[in-house]
Amino acid sequence: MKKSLLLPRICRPIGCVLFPLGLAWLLAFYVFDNRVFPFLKYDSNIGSNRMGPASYLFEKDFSTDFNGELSILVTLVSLFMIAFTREKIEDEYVSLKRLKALQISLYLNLLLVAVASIFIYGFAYVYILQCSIYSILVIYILVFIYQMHIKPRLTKSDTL
Amino acid sequence: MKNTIRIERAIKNITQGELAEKVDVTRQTINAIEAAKYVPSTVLALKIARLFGKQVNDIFELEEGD
Repeated sequence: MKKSLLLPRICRPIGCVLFPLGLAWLLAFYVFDNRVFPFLKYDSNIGSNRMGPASYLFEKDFSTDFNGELSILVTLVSLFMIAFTREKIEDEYVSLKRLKALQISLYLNLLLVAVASIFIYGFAYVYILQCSIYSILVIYILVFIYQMHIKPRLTKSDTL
Repeated sequence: MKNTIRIERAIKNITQGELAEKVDVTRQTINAIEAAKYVPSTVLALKIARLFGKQVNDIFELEEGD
C-alpha cells in the first residue's frame, strides 16, 4: 500500500522539547522585546542614509534581528514535528482521524479569522493573523490527540 | 454496513487486540469496524475475511440506506 508522508517516530519527542523553547523565545522577542541572542542582530545599514528596515533578506543594506525569524521557525517546525509524526501503528483509521482533525482545525481557524475580521481592527488584527499561523497546527494537534489517545480511554471496550 | 466480525472472533476465540495485530491495524480500528462506526477499505476487508477463512460477502453486508 502507498505509505503516507509522515515523519519518523523520533520527531515527536524532539518537537515536544523544541516547542516550549521556541515559544518562549518567540514571546521573549515579540511580546517582551527581549533579544535572547543579541549576536543575531544584523545591520549592514550602519552609516548609510537609508530610512526604515529592508523588506527582503539580502536586499542591499538590509538590517534585521534574526531572533525573530529563528524563533518563528523553531516554533513552526516543532509544531510540525509534533503534528505529523507517525503513530506506532499508522493505519487507515488513523489517517481518517488525521483528516478529521485537520478539517476541524481548518474550520475553527477560519472561524477565528472571521470573528477577528469583524471585531478586531488595526495592528491587533495583524497579530491575530500571525497567531492563526500557529493556531491551525495547535488545534490540529489537540483534536488529534483527543481522538487518538483520550476518547478511546473514555470508551474502552476490548470484548471477546 | 453490518458485519459479523464479533461473531467470527468469538468462534475463533480471539480478542480485538489479537485480531488487530494479525491484520496490522490498531485495536481502535477493529473496535470502530465492529461498532459500525467505520467502513474498512477493500484491502482491510479482504485481510479480515482471509483471516477468518471466509468470503468478504460472508462477513460484510450492506444495510438499507447504504
